[in-house]
Amino acid sequence: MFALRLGILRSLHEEHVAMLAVLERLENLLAANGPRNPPDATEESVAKLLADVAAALGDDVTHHYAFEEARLFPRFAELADPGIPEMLRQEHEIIRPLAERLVAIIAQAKTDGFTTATWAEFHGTGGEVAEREAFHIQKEEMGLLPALDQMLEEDEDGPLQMAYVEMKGG
Amino acid sequence: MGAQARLLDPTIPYRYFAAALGFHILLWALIAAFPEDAAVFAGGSGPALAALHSLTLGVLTATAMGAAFQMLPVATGRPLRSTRAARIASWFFIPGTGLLIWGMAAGEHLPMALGGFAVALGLGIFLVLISEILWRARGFEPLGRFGLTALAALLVGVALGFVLIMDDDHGFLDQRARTAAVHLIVAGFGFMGLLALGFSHVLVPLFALAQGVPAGESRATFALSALGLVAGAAGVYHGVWFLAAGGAFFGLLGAALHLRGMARCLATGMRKNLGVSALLLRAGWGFLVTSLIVGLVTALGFFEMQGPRLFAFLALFGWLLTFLLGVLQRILPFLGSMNATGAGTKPPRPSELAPEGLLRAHALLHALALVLVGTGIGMEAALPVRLGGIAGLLGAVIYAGFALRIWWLIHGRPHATIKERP
Repeated sequence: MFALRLGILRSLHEEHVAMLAVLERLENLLAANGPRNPPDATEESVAKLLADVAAALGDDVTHHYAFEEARLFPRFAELADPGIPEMLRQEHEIIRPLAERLVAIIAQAKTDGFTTATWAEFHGTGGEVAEREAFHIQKEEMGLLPALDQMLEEDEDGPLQMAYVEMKGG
Repeated sequence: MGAQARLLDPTIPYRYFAAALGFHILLWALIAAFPEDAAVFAGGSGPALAALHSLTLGVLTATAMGAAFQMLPVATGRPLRSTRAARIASWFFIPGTGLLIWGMAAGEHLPMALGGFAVALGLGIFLVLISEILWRARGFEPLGRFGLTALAALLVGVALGFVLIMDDDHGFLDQRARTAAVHLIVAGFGFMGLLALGFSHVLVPLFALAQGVPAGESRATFALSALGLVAGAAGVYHGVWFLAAGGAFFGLLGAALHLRGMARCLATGMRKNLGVSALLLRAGWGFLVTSLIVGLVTALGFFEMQGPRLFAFLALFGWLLTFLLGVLQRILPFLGSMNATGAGTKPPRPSELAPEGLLRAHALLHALALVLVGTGIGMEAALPVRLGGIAGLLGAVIYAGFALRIWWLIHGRPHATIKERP
């Protein structure tokens, strides 16, 4: 990964780093508890992790993806080539319903705990989200962010940062 | 043709990777079938020269071409000027390599010359296309610096190779053995070596999701490596052995600095478990250092004929081949998934594409092949070379199976569809 010049791209990179940290913790939980061995969702460390996963995925799916699709992908397509943003947008479409389902299972587990069935579903979906999201982030870190950092003008940075803040606030 | 297909036409990189997998099998088969030639190889046409070029052109260069055509436009955001030209390069390069290798194995000049000419044409197109991307993406300093210098070395390496082919029939070179040694150093360390170092600046931080190598450190690595390359080649050609030893020494310093940066990437990256590929990368780096030490000791006069042979074997098979197989092991699933995302289909998960058991079996056989063939060359004994060739051949078949499996999962199997949001 390259040192990024523009603040908006650094923000997205930092969100990627934070997301990967949460996904790594999620993978560790899944590795420690097989699909037929649900953990106690009320246990402090598990509850904290589930809350972090729900927050990270909820935010990523709504704001991060939406901002990329609305503001960055069209600029990339305009300045370089539409193929990469199109591929990344399609990956969003794959991850979005998986992440939404995971967040829904977490919400249910917060009140009812995990049953064998809900944990098995969480295990499968969580593993898939972790794999696909990490792979997706790798592609953005390799292709999208460094290339945009080279192509965007510095005076585009401020308005883009403002737009992202507004999108998150709204 | 849609935007997705325009950017990520999978047939371009895949044709080069498929050729590399085929030549990988061929090179080990040649070693297994003709171990005497490999154990005491001292230049000249025959199966050992054919196996050597099956590796350097067939595997290493073909993979570098496929990876560069696919990865550089993605990494830099600068598309290829012409995807048609990238296809045309393969029409010259891949059959040309086959013809050249056949000519080398049979000791026949005409196929060697025709094959060499076709290879040079294919590489010429590659050189123009990739240097144009690297030139437009000069902001990506390490890629540009290492990449453009590697392409300059490729130009020299190809020219020397062509001179050697012509000399094979006409005998006009006074210093054929030294010219061949310079060809090996410039093509191996200059082209493939610098390209491997440059690509590592992007790929290793990408695999590990780590911060890249600081610019100053990268510049120092480049300066030491380039100095080592020039000194080594000049020393070998002129027979000034302390200069050649100095080249190996500067190469070692450059390698040490590079490896420090790579170790930092792996240690501090967000992704800790990089599987079997990280083992191969680390083993490749170990062989890089070992090859330079053997080169240094050989230049100082401590080895007889085994020295240059071991130096070439450790650099080309130990470092470059092992490193490349490690990289390919990670980028094939990566590229596969990039090409699979499209047309509303849901691609397989990354873990489905790269099963650990298959990759471990290949790594084990590859390691066994290197140890046995290296021992055979050191002892000038055919039996260990043959056994190593057989182990390498089995490993190469498994590796080809791994790649074919990815192809099947991506392109041959029907996928679940994904729902677009309203």
